[in-house]
Amino acid sequence: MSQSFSVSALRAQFPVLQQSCNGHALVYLDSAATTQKPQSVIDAMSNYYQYNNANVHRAAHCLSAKATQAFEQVRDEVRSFINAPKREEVIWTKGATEAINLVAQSYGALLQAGDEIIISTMEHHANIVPWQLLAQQLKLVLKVIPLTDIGELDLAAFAQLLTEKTRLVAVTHISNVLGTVNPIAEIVALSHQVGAKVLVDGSQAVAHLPIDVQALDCDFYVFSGHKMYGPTGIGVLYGKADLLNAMPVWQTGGEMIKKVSFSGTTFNALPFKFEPGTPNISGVIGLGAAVEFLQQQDRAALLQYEQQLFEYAKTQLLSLPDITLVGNAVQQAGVISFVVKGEHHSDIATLLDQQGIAIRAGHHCAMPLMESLGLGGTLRLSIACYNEQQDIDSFIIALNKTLEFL
Amino acid sequence: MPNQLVPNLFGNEISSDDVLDLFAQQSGWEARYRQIILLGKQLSELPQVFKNEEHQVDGCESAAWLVSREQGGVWQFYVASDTRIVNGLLAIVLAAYNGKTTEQIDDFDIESYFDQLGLSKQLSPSRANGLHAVVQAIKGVAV
Repeated sequence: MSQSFSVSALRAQFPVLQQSCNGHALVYLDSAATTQKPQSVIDAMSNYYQYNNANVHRAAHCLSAKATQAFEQVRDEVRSFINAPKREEVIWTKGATEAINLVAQSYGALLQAGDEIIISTMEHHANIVPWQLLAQQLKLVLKVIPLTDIGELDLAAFAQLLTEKTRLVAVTHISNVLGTVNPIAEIVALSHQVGAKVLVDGSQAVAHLPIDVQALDCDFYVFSGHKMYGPTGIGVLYGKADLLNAMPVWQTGGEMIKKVSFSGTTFNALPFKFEPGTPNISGVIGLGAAVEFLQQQDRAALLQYEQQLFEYAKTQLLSLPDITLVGNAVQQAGVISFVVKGEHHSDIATLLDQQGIAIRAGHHCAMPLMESLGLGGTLRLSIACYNEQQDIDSFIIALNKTLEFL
Repeated sequence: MPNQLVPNLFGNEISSDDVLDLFAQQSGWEARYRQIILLGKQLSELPQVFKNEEHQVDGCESAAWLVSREQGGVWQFYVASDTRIVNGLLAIVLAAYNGKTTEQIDDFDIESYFDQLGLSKQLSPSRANGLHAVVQAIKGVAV
């Protein structure tokens, strides 16, 4: 396989990958669940606590000023990372899940009975349940985009679902089960024709694809830091400023207020309006380091490398007997799902674990998708920039051994 | 009688000490897991009628079912899962608990037993196989 950059140099930046598991060198192919963290992210967070820890936006003292500056600088970095027009359009959340819940509760408060929301069959539970609850609360209609046989969104069916009552379309950028890369710009254009807003769950996309929210023209874009080499507990809600300004506050408390008296409270402007309480400062600092880590790479070369590895893994898997790939979309990235004829995914994953191979088995928080596929679960391997061909080879050898064993 | 519960060998004919002896002879993950799968095959089949929500114990990766019966002061458990390895692990659990009184079940140190078998990780609460949940359910019913 041709390599346009040094994967070994990149891999060396990830301390976790240097260990063994069950007596074997660790082969980590579960990055869709969470990616490993480069040393620079770990150092940034540790340095923050060692040298810069203070609450942000509060005190006049020098330490607080340093913390605030570092903290707000990351907002600028993330703005640039996703090409958002304005820095105040970047809202910190705990992760993609909280970002979706924020939109469901806040944008949701602007909806009324009979309004329609469209999601898709391939959504993660985090992009289903908040809408389902909202629909129950407000008597909204929840519609679901079906999939084609190869695991793509059925865009013809989607066009039929859109009506002048559609207020929101919430879809994933990349499926965490099928690896399907959805045509977001096209979905946004279709949705905007009927005046519907679009929320994109970018959780599985941020580590792989360059994200340009202006090119996509989506109204909301959400993602988690920990799936893009950053820390857990920090995520981003991007929203168009007009929309965020029109939305009511969600959680309340300190930081997000302008003036509080017992006769009433006025709220702070964006982005602070949606950031009550002391934020996850070290998480933001770590996320900043993760963004810098990604920005330092040649993203096009990185994507090409990952795609080569992806195709290699698919070809190797298909060379084994009794393996069926789940999801064959024309555009895929990040994850490969498969099932083994006559075997339970859990048995395979347990035996792979014995051989030091970390992959995922189960429904991947997408039970409605599994139901539509008629599957109880799949095995899923996922690829990140630090994986190398050796990881795939070790996985295939272990899988072969497992199949012989069973 | 397709709906009849058939008692298991485990705990009745095959004790936890027998299982410990068996595993003492196995070295390496392959031998251990081959043994686990063989034990799982010796479980009595759980009639389909019991594989319902009432008896389901959830794991994230797989489903398991547990039926509990007390007769003459001792417990008999009947189990099934849809995976070979969990079936084997369940057989190992039953070897410790079947035919025992509530007090004996309470007194049995399941963690140490799994530890001696080299399978302690399989029993951890974080494990997605549901084994921990089955053990909790057995301890919960036998009180």
